[in-house]
Amino acid sequence: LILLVEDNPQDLELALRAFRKANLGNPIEVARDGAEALDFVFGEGAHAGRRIEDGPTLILLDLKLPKVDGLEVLQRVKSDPRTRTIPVVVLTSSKEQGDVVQSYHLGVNSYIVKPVSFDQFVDAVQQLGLYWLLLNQPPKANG
Amino acid sequence: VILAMAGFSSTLVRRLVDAKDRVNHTHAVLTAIQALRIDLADVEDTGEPSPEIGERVRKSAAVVARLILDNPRQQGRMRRLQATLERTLGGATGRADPKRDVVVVLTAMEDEERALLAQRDRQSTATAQESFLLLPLGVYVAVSMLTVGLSLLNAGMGAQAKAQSAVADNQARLAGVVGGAMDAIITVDREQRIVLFNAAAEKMFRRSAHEALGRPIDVFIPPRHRGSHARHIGEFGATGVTSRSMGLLGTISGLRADGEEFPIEASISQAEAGGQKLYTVILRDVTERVAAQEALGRQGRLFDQSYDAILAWGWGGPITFWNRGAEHLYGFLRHAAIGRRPQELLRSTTPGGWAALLAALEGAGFWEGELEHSTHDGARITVESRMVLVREGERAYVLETNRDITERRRVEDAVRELNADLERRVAERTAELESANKELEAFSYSVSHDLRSPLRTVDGFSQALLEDFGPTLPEEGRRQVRTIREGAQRMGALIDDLLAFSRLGRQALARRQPLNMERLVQDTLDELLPRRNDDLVVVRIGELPPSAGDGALVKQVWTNLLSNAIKYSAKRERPVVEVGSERNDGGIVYFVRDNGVGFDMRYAKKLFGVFQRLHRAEDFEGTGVGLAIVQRIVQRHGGRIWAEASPNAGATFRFTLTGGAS
Repeated sequence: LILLVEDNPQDLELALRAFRKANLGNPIEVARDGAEALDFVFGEGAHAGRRIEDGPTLILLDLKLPKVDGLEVLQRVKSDPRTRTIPVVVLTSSKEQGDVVQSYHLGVNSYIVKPVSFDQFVDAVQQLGLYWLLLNQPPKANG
Repeated sequence: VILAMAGFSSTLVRRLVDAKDRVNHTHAVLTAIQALRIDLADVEDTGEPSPEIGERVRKSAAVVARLILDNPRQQGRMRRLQATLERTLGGATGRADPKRDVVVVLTAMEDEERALLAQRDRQSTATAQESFLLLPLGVYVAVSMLTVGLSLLNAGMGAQAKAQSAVADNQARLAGVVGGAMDAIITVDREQRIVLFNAAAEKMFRRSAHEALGRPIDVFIPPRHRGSHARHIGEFGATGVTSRSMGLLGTISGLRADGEEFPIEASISQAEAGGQKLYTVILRDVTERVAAQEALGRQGRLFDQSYDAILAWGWGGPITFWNRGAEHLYGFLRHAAIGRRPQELLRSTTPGGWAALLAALEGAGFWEGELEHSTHDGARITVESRMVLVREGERAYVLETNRDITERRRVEDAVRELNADLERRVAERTAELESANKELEAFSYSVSHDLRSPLRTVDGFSQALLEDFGPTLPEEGRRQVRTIREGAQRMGALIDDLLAFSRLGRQALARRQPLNMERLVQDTLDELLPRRNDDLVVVRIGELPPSAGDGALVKQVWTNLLSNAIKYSAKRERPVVEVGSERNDGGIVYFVRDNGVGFDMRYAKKLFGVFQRLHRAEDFEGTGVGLAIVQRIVQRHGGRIWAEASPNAGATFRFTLTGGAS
């Protein structure tokens, strides 16, 4: 299960289209802001009752989000022992060094700048899916 | 006294002799009485006085009578005795009674004389004793008086001798003083004839006393002064003042025997001796002093040439020197300044305080600093002052040199104010710039994030359109959708370049490190022309000395310049790109030259501006940011970039990295 956190509907549609074109078989859960993403990950709010141990396998996170922004979501996920091992890839339009450095400090696994060109975007999605979902070996406990 | 003593002695002796005479007289009287008594006894024996016996008796009685003439009582008895005796010897013969009467009277007379003898004997003894006592005393007194008289006489003669000796001493001493004096001493009489001429005078006038004595003093006075000198002496003689300095009359000149004139300082005194009026002049040769004063005067005139104010004042005393520079600076003329105390005249103040200034002068003998002074018209001026304390024996004075720095100080103040103002404005501007930078950062972030997102939407959905509905679109429709995508992608490139450029201005330069320029150029060309050997472009690499700087940024410079060179020469039949270096003013100048389209130097100023392009986009694609980035990197390394070109004759870009800011 991939958790895609994206507030922009056009970007979301393009992202989903890219995933589809990349032929990634994993189901995708979409969160439209930071709060929703955290509810899903920690089984709270609308997702109350959901077990933390059930994933997601990968979080694709935009930084500029309503309510709770991407960096805070990242910080919460990476500071909780139960969710710390979930790979988080920042997928954002921001090339700002500050964002990049802070993300890595908070423990982000990858930082990808969304290319303007859709072809390149599809390329990027394909590559990160291939890497994180197939090549990368997660710890056993994360099931 | 001696005569008195002699008189006294003779009286004494006479008295002694008289006393003895009286004793002898009494003895004589007694002897005579005794003789009479014996004669009388004869008369008795015979019973009948013979005429001879009578005569003897009468004679003896006459002796007694003559002897007692000095004693009236005995004379009375004698008269009775003689009367009785006559009766005994003449008339009353036979009768024994008259003889008896004579004996009775005689015995009374004898008793009287015996009493007198005892008295006179006592008197004589006493007188003798008195004389024996008084005579030696008189002699002693006389001898003493004589001794005293002699000694007094002697003493009187000694004092006279002594007085005479002292006079002689004084004369010798005076002669010594006069003779040994450093000053010339000349005495003249009423007729101005020299009566005394000491050794110093001989030396001074180069004439011996022997020659000078008796001559008129005029010979030692230059002719033109003789009249005034005589008048002066005459006036002086009339005043009755005993002495006076002649210096008051101005410079007096003397005349040496060899005709040389010289300045002298003189004093004159008058005295009467032996009923004659004498004038004594004491002269001092002041040639050296006058020369020194003239030298000082020359120095003073020299000081007048100085634009600086030069003044001198006695330590704790008034101003004694005031040059023309001081007159100009302060507006006080020399005569107004001399005699005044400097601090009062100029109302001096100094930042460290006047007391500290004086202490420094006294301690180090030197002071240097700034003073504030008031000029004659009341203006306050600032001077740069140097003071030196000069000690000459007991005297000490301060030589002060002041330079007006009021104008300089005013300009300095103005400059300082301007600088302060400038600094304040720079600080303000810096703050403004920092604030603007922050805004720019926020703007860049926004551009980077928010502008790219809709572009991606445009591009993404154009692609989706082509994929999903491409087959149903006419060819022209598909071309227009592709144009939309190109526009979006080009805008994306512009945004990326703009962000890169703005980051260059804000980010700190990495630490300067040694740069192998050959390696940097090779790497860059490898990236730009991966199949270089197959490409049309000919690249010639010359000497590239190492440099120093931020490696990534300098590589960006090479990338932009080389890609430009390749791009703008690509349309040539034989594109040639040259890379190399030159030495210029000791620094290394790197260059990139191509034989491409070049440009018109009229537009050279626009070359390094952001988004400035000298070629149309359909001819040569580009964002117009590349050279702006290059210039910014070079400038941040303390270097400089410039270009030379002409249309269709290629372009040469030169840059330096020297100087370098870190």
